[in-house]
Amino acid sequence: MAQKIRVCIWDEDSDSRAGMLRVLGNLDDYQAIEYRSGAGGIANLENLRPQILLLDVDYTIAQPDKLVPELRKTLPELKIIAMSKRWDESSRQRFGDLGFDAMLLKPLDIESFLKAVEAANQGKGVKSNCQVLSFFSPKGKSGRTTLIVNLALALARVSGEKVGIIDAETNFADMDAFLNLNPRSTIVEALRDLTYLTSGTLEKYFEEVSDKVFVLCGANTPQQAAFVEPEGLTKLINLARPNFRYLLVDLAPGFNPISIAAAEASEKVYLTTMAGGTFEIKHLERAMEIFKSLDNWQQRVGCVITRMAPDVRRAKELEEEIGCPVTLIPNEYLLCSEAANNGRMAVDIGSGSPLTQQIDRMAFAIHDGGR
Amino acid sequence: MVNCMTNQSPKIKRKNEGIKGSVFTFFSTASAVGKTVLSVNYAADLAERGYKVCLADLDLQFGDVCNYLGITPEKTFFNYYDQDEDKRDTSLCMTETQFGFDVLAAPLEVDEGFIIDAETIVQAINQLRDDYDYVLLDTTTGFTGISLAILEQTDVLYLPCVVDFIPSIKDLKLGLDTLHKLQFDYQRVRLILNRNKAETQISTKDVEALLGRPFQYFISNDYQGIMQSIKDAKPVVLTETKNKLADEISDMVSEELGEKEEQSGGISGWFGSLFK
Repeated sequence: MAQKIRVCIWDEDSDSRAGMLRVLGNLDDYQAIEYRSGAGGIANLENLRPQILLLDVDYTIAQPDKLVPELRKTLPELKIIAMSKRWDESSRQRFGDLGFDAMLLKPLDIESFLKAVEAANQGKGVKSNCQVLSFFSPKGKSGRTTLIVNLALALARVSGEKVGIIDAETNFADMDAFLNLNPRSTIVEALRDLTYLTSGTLEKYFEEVSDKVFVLCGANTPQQAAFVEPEGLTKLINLARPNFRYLLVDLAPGFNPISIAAAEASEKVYLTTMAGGTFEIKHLERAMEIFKSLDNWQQRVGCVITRMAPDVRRAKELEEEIGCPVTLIPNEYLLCSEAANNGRMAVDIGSGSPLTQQIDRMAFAIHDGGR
Repeated sequence: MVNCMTNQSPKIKRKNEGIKGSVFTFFSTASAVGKTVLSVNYAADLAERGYKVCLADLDLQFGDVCNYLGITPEKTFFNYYDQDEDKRDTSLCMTETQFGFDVLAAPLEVDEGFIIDAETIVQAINQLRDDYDYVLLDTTTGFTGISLAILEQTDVLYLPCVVDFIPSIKDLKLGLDTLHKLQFDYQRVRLILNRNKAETQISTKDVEALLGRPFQYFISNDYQGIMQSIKDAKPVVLTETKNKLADEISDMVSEELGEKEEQSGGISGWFGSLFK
């Protein structure tokens, strides 16, 4: 009989600990070991010789900053999975730098939990590599929704992985109309149910657009949009992360608590505008001044100007003017409006059009780690 | 850009001294439907008729009124907000234009616009009603705490839209339904089809059927004319060679003032609607 894989669970929450022990206890391959504070410190932990450690990093006495480097010295083969109720960009960065092999958001769902344990056992990191991309525009009619839908499809093609869209437009969410969806639930229900949702159960709130693109539709009415608040949206974004390689967030125009929270929770923010020959670039420049207060804004902020023919020299000029990388997306008014009118945005804008080609280039660049 | 005078004592006297001014709001459920173009021209037309008019740019973060008029204000709404609450005075923050009306400009910095609250806006509107015959409000798109406060102060709501694609029409219908739920009197809503007869695949009749009400006003599609007006920083209603679009805006103003129907003996517009 093959030797069981020793999984040590260090979680001060007894309910959570009991749940994990129960799940692993039902599997033949694993031997679950309970560990708590006062159980003898790191020396005792080392004596248990776990192959996988599940560590609740919200429990500060565990001092992961000290513990992980020490464990790495004595148990170099150990896989360590961090568990936390709060994940944001800075904590993700911190725990990644500390050398955790995977991170799980609590409350855990069985599927994500087992996936993480199994991946750790196979030596595969299951660090959430999801990139959240938010799309902000100073004013509306920026071509944002068209861009997001087509970019999501392109990113799914390029990465071969799942891409999610959250329609967080708080007044007139249009993603359902663009994609001819009749959603069973929207962002309003997802936020209402947030306290008992897990990454796994949140998936059911997303509607399928293609086999790899899924959308969480926005509020049905402006009144319902009142339920969308910044803290909830941040939690929702983080909860959705493990499900997707890319998560695209559509935001209402202008700065408001929702758009600011989404920007802070994102790896990348795209300022989007439609070239109209008036003051669009001036507004982008003014918005840029605000985004410069984001940490690492040079790496995190980009601009997309729609209805402007791609032109390298013009893009460079605009980059200097606005102060961040600029992508130009050509005008395909008739193609886009017809597709939107028929709810066939994901179907009609096929490959070959200049718009699709340019969005494909943008997707390649994002996936390559560029702009 | 033309630097405009501020803090000037009013040169134009009110026509209706002692009566609070009317508040006309330009609001929309989609962006880029012509709110600013219409409000700027409406203000210019009213001023041409001798009324004392002010246009407040309540698109506080990305307002375009000053951009369209080519003016650089010395004082903005932020200066009003920044005063002690009991000492706030709109007359100290107005920008006088060469077009016969005053502007309460949107803040120069985006973060200044972000912090202005609904109570301050209501306070300002009430002061402006004391000083002007007509207070025109150019707003941002959609329903927010601020726009709901503005709606409560509004006498006539101009709701321009562009029939360009279905999601916009859905949003317009949703907007009208929301106004209904807010118990905003439909008699006070003026539905405007802007860029009438522009290239579109949607019929106006179908849109009217969906909305359950007809458009009251039709404004022609004159992209070149509007772009030239913005470039010249001069409202189209004041250009020497009047065009169709300018006439349509003037007719809209006449109808609101009841002038058109008065000529033919009827009572219409805002005043007339009270007796319907």
